[in-house]
Amino acid sequence: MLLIMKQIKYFIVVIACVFSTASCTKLDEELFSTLDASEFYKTERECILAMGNAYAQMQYRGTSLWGLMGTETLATDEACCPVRTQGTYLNNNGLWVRLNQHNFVATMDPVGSSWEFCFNTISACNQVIYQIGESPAEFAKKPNMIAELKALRAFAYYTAIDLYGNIPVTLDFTDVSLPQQKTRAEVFAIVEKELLDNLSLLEEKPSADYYGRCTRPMAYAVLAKMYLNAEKWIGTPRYADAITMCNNIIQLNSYSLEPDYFKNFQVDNISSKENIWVLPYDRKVGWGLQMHQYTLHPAQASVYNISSPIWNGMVASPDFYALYNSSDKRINSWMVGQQYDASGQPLKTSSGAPLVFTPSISGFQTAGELDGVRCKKWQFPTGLQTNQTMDNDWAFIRYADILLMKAEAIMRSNGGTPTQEAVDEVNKVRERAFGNTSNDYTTATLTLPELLNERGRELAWEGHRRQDLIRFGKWQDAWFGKPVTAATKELYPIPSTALLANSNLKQNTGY
Amino acid sequence: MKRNFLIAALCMLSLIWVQVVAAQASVSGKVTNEQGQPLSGVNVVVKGTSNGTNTGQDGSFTIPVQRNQVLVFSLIGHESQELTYKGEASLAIRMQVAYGNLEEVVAVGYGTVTKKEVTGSVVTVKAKDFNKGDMSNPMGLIQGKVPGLTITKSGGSDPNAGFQIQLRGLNTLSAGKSPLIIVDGIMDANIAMLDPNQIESIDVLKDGSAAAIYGTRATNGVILITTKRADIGDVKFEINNFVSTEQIIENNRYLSADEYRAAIAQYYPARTYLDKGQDTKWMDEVTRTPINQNYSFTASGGTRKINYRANLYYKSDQSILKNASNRTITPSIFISQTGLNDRLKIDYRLIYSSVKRKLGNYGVLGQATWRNPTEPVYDPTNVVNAGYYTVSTASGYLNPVAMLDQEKNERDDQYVTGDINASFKLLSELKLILHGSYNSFRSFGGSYKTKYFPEVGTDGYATAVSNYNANYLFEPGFEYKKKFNGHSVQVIGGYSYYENQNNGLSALNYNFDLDNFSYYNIGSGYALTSGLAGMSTSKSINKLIAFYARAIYNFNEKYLLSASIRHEGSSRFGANHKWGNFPAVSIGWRLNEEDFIRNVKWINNLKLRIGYGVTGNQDISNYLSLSRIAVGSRQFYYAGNWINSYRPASNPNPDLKWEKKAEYNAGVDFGFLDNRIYGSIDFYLRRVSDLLWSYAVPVPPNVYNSTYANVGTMQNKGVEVSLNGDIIRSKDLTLTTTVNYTLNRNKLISFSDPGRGYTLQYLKINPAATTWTQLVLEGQPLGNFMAPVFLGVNGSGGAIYEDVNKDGTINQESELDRRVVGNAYPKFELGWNVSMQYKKFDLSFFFRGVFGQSLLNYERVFYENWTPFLSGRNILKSTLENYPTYTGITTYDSRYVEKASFVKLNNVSLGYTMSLPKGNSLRFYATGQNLFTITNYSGADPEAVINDFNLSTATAGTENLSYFPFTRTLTFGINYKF
Repeated sequence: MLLIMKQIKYFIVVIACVFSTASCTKLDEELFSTLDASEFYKTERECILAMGNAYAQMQYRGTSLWGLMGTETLATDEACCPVRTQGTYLNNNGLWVRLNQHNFVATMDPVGSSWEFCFNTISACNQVIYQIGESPAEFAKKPNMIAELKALRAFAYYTAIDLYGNIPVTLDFTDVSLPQQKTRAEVFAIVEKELLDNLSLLEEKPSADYYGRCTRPMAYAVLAKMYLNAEKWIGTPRYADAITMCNNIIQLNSYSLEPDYFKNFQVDNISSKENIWVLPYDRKVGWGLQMHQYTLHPAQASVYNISSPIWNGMVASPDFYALYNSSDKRINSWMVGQQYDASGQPLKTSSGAPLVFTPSISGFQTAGELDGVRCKKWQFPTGLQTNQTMDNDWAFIRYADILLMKAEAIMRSNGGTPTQEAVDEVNKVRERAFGNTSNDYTTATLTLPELLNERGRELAWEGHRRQDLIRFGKWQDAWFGKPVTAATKELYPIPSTALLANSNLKQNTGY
Repeated sequence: MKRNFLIAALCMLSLIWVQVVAAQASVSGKVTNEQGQPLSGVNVVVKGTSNGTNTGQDGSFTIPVQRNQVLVFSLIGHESQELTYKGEASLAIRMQVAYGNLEEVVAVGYGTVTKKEVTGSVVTVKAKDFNKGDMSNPMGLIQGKVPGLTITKSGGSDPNAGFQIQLRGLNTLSAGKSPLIIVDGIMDANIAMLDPNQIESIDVLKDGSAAAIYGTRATNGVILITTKRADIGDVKFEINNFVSTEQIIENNRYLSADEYRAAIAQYYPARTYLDKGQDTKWMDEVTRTPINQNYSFTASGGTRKINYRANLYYKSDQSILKNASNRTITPSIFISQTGLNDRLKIDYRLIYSSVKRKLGNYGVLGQATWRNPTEPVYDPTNVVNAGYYTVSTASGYLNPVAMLDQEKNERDDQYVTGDINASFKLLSELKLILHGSYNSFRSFGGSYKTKYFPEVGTDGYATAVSNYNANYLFEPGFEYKKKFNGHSVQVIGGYSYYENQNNGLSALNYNFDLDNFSYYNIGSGYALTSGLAGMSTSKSINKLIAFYARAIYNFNEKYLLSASIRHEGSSRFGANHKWGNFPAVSIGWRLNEEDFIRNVKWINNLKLRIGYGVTGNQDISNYLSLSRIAVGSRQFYYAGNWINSYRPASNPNPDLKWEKKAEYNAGVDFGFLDNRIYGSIDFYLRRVSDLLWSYAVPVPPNVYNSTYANVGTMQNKGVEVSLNGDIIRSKDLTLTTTVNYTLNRNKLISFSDPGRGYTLQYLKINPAATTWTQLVLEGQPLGNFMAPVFLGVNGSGGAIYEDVNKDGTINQESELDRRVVGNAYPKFELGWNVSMQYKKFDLSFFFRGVFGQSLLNYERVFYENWTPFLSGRNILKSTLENYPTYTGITTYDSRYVEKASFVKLNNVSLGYTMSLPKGNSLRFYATGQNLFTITNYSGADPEAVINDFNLSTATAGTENLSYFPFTRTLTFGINYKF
């Protein structure tokens, strides 16, 4: 019995030892592959790494058909994804047909993803601006970094005003209340002030260090876009301000038209002197542009050694292609006629027909396999594999656009007729396109409709067409595949997910 | 690894004390059954002492005993007997089978009770009642046997697929849906590689009052698996071997080559190019007739002081798909010893398992299903594609034979489970218990697609994955048992510490010089040097800590009471909600012990039970409540370099807590007519509150557009009936039958809480179909298919739909122009089992039926349509039969939602047992599984569906488009005990 009592004692001692260890009732979680947020933002480097998240929100959505390329390009008269009666084509259950015909609904992917482009960027900016402000790290560039993020946020708001009109605004990360919806004019004023207030802190000129980031010329360009559209958006003409902003950029003498139009779109376009506000891409790290999948025919895969799927989808609308003069070098943005492989042999389809792209499309819902010209404006990189996207950096705003905007602002502030200065600015762009002055405009030939056509040719598929058509009053018009549509379609519906999440939001009229 | 195992086994053996017991005057005897056959393993003890022994194979025993002491004989499934020793020279005991199983031991978690003492809803399935045949997972043993427990194998015949288990309906929307599986007290044990022959019984704790002792993990039910223990006496051996094969249940739903040609001629005569001139049976090209082998060898023996059971299990399952297989080797050893005058009892267990898997690519089976039957398999001129016939312009249309040949995907898993359970009898009523276990899973695997794998797009593509998962369980506790003056008290209590750790490593690389390395030289691919390869590691830990106690009381085995509490905390929850209480109480009244019923001859057993219990579900990802920073998947171009972006990992929710279920259960257990008819009926009402769901929140102020939060409430109520009949109980012939009935009704009570900003009124579920298919609405059951109502085909080949809201236009997307056309969940389920024994022959069969559910025939949505035909694919024959003039788009409507009630002959088994001398026996048997199915469902199989509820991928009642074929299985086996 004594022995047993001894055993019991040991037993109790063992139990007591086990219970006395501190971990007995401790349930704190230990992190391994992620960090405790309260231990981050402590150094300049950490602030930079966090800033990256704000910029990264724009990747993919900024150039995807399921994002801004859908809402800003495919929905216009520049492009379409016709329903083809044979072979593969990009269908997605009629999504592209509905988008092109302006049958917008609040549950459409491109509508939701474009919203996310804007508001995920805004939210990331709010968060990083707050965290950098709170960071104990002291470094010289801190105020500049905050200003840069505010400019990025302003660009996202500018995009949201353009697409959705009346949007919620939150500028303070610590404000967790449901954001209130504001009118277009109210948001316009906020964004304008944000940009103007921060101009002085932004990097003055383009530089290698600031490539792909918000600079003072970028802010000028966004302001110019806002002022040019102000009459249409908020009913207040601001053309003089638009001219000032364009002049601010021109007078920097940092930008110029590239002699070769296509240099701005080539695979390695980082050296372009013309691209002002750029979304950098790289197949290794930056997930982005899928033009090769959207527009090429599968038979062309071998030409560029592409092994990812190709969808035979997006082509230029016939009437848009017809805007080009055959001596306009920009017509080479399009693939038309017989296509050849790398060794110069004519390509064929799987049924043996020659691969010949035709500008005409036999019907929006009854297109042939090869109908429509394809876009090669952005040089196709070779060797793209599954899940890889193009390396070409995407220009949101180019210098050529600034010149055309300035001309337009002058014309609009001059009763819709050009001055010689306006004609000169447009002709700079025109002369590059033709390589000579023989196609120059004069004050007599440059009309507003002609300027819209010229903008179309110069900026095809770059994401400006929707805004331009609305500003020029053409958005409701019928075009290939699209009937006349209501004025309410000038704004996209607020996506259903956003409406569900915020009871303060009211859907745009007409949806 | 093998060496480690040996060392570990030796260490365990070295722990064992050998005790020498002084001999006393003793008596010998023999225990037999009613037929006079010897019974082995009968527990014989001298009442009031710790003296005891077990009968040997010939039923004999020897035990030290003094005159007028009482001997107690007990054996599971038999009536216990007491006998006062009067000094006989030898004893002959004849034990009777306990009809109605009232003395059966029932595991209730942290202890056992007899069946008559149970007050909760607990179902025990003993080994003899298990489903027969070849199971890829022990859960198959009880499929259809437990009312309320739905077990589905939606992976078809995939030897590496598990079962989906659902108890009493769906009780969560987004948290884990698997029950807590406990093997001999080891939590979260891996069971797929266990030898089914080693399982003694499976207990299912169904209601809240029974399961609440397991607290935050018990909502989906608790399944307790008890493995066989050692036989005492001379070493006994048992061999269980079987060979099985499978056959596809072919229903020729797609066009044959000739039918394909006929369809071209009849409907699209201009498209002769669709006919590629061959006759290929694609499914035959990728499948085979598998031979599956199972070998189990057991040695068991020892003394009461120290005994053991050692087992070696080997399983080799080929699969119907040519390159998939599963090879499992599981050695295990169980040692039990007593010491310190029987005060100390220690059980050790060590299970090691090596599983080599070749994982089948489900896509191969999908492609084989819809591949054009007139296409050849090979095209020798197509050198670029290694001679496989290829349609290069059809994206996503891949040659299944090329897929099969040009891919390798395998995994090598190792499981180790070690367990020690020590109990020390401090007083005769009080035992201290120390239980510790370690349970780990290590896996190394990889895949390789050669450059000829269709659409791989790279020069070879390799992945390698390694995982390590381990959990530790430490549970000190006590057990107090006392009987006095008709009172019986059993109290248990303890502390539980559980820690689970997960580590992962994965790598991907591509662009290899040659395909020879497979994934075994992953560094040699050029994607690494060109910065395109991928690599990742991860680690996470979570913990559960609990204090638990339970008291079970009865008075004269007439009035029963059980009450328990678990105070438990989980590391996964928010700082404000780490800990919670999970109480339970249940009472029982055994009416047959009351005088007014005791005299009713035909009532042998009648018990009423009522219980209430609270359980939780904490099966969500780790760290969700915390504010964390993660490395973003996208990089950022900064000062001329791409650098990482760091982002918040999720919207933090410091209020995150477990889903909480409160359940009422009322039941009756009965046994009539000499217990020839017995069974139970249970009614339950369970309500889960604080349902977890990802709610859309505005961005900003949030960083992400959804927050995981506790909001909704859901209810399940139902009835379960189990009815057993011992129809014939003669010496040569026995016939027993069992019927199970299950009914469950689900309702989502609320889904939103506008006050907290979670304003979800409805949810449209789009399981990767063309449009949404199900509407989740407050006040409605889950699983409602809502579809445009198809009325017919119009003159231009389009569909005519009903204008439900009569507004003159039809908007297929809108719920206003749709109707509820079925529900994915069954109205009721039935199981019917019959077992017969005639002399040396035994025969059993088991039917399983599920009734009233509707399924979305996903294959018809896509392949009862000319569109795939025109693009060169095969289509369903029903295209020609149902709506051949339909040329409209592929879309979801009421056409494709089918009634899917079915009855399956789950298994039939015939056996012949030869009794050999010395209690040895040899049994031969043959079993057929899934021999036939009666159903009006036109798809592959009414069980080829997801049982789950998942917003993003697929949801309940929706078929998988690619699945392993459903098969009939035929098994021949022997069981030799010697």
